Amino acid sequence: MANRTLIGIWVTIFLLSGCSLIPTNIVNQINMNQGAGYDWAGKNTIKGTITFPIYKKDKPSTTEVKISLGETSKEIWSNINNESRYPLVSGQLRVVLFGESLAKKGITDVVDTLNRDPSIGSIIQMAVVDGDASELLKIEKFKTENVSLFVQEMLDQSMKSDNLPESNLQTYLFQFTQNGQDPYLPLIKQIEDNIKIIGIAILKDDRYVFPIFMEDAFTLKCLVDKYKQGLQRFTLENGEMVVLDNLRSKVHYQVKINKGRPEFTINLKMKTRLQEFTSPKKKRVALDKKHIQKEIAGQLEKNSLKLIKKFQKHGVDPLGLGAKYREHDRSFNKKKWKRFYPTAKVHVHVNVNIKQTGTVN
Amino acid sequence: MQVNKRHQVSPYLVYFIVYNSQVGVGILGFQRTIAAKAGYDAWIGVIVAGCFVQVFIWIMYKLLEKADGDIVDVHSKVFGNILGSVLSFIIMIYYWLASVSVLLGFIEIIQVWMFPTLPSWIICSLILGLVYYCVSGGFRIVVGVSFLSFIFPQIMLIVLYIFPLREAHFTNLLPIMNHSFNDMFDAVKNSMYTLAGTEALLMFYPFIRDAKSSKKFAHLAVLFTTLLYTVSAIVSFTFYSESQIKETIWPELSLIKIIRLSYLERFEYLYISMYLIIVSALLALLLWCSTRGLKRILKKKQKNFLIILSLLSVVISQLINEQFKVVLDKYVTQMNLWIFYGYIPILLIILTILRRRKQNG
Repeated sequence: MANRTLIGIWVTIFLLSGCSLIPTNIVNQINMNQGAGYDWAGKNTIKGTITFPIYKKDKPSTTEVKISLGETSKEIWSNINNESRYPLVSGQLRVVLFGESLAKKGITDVVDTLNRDPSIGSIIQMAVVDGDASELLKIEKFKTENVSLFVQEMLDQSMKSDNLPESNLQTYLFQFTQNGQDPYLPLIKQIEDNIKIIGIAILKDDRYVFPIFMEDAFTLKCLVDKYKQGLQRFTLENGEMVVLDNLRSKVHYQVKINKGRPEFTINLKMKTRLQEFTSPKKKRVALDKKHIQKEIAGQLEKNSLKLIKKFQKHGVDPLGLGAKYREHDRSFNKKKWKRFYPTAKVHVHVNVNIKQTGTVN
Repeated sequence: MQVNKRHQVSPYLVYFIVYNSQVGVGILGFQRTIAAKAGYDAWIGVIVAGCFVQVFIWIMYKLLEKADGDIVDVHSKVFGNILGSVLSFIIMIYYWLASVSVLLGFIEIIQVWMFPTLPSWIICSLILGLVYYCVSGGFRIVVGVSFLSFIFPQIMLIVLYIFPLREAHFTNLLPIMNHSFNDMFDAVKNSMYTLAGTEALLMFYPFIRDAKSSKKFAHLAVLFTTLLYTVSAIVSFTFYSESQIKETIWPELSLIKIIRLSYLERFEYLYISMYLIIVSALLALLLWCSTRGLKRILKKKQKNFLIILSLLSVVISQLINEQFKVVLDKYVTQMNLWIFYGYIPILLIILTILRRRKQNG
């Protein structure tokens, strides 16, 4: 019996010391990387910026921003590791920004590294910066307010309740690898000391081609997302202005194959709520709901077609029309589709329904 | 051969044993292998494979009912003692190799996802220590662990599908049946291996009280796992694009990367740790089958074989290289297909003919 107890104690000691066999990271002895920015620095080198918070006892936390040059993103990582007190870890990464210069050259190399690292989540935010990503992360004002958390929460908030279409690492990878679709990312800009969302960056494969600014973001979001909230102002023909808040919208793509060529019909149904109504006559006029609905639907149709024409002209497909065509054609061929796309016929039907008009009629 | 009633288990527990024997590390990565050729039609292959497994269960029950014992009895009845022992020995080696393959798969996951620097032998001995403890307690303990491995992780396995389903693109699955028969056959073949494991029944059959009534539970368990695998395949297929899944090694684990809780940034740590329950239960079952068979063939104590096999597994896990691992996996898959879907049905036919002759003569 005594023998058994001895063995038990021995095993316990072995197992407890086993904890030291397993590698550990102690939370105040690591630098938790929360944001990263990448810019093109010319001659195959990338300028990487990494931010991490520093917590000190009895003091407000500050954000440390480190910049280094390198040919790959992990090389930058190790360069920055060489000049910091604690090792960098990537499990807390929230946001990755791409400077315009790098985004125009292609971001696949960096994104592949993000996807390869098991400790990086796949819902981290990515965005293209109109300008320099490192300049944006370095803004003095955000020394005490965590800049990466700020950007991440700003994007999150805008995707949930405003006009930015949903995007993150996973949606980017999905759209990038999907046969017949091109990705899009939010576009942000540093304006003096502020960071602002200015639109959506449309990418062709992994290269940034052109921006869609905020006034068209509502239309684009209606076309790509399921149902989300978002405000949009419409000016009617007679000068009345209407602000609608999208409560729920549903988009349905129909594909018809006509003489071997695809033809698309996009049906968009929206349930909205009227938030603001102003008339140039400067007095209260009665709301003609039916008329407003019809006119706004017409405007949205025109606007969508304008956007789609633009996409077709540049040969980019953020709506995933190619993927939708592939679902209906067993002999889908990427080359054939590339030839069809610029001239493919697209019809848009919008149905706007104003459900609520607030507390007044 | 009759087993003491004290060591037998109730018939309904067969459900949990069969479930446990089928679900291993395979479910984390089979989506990629089945989609390699058949693309997104592969989920049909899983259902077809499930039907094959149902037939296989029926064959095994017929065979074991006729012999009223385990596979060792069947072999000695059909082929005599010496040849029968050799054939049984091969099957026991299969059980052990299958356990090694599961163990190596799990070690690889731990090393890639959690502890890149931890040597294999430490993980291996920790897991096998636990498994040894289970198996040395006898079959009833193994069943108990099987039961736990069903109850605990099941909640997580299914509930976690909610997160990826929010971003599912169901139209990914279209157009259905767009692949040749050969490609589909490849998907069936690959799903057969992920659904494998039911062959453990060949060893534990005598341990079921009133074995005949346990038939329906075995069929139910196979139905459940087939559905689980189909759902898992569909969830991954709708979440990833087709070329994305082809480069993701563990699609199901990467799904977990989209979960972020405010108090737990990286959820997969919890998920992989939970997987230890599933893996150790499966290892316990496979090693129990293997050592039980060896005990019956060589007439030595079961514990000795258990220690020898465990030590061998530890050595192999440390020495094995990537190339050898691929070869091992291939051998185990081939052995599984040939032994259990080729040889066992033939064995049933031979046994039936022999019985007929005896009755007639």
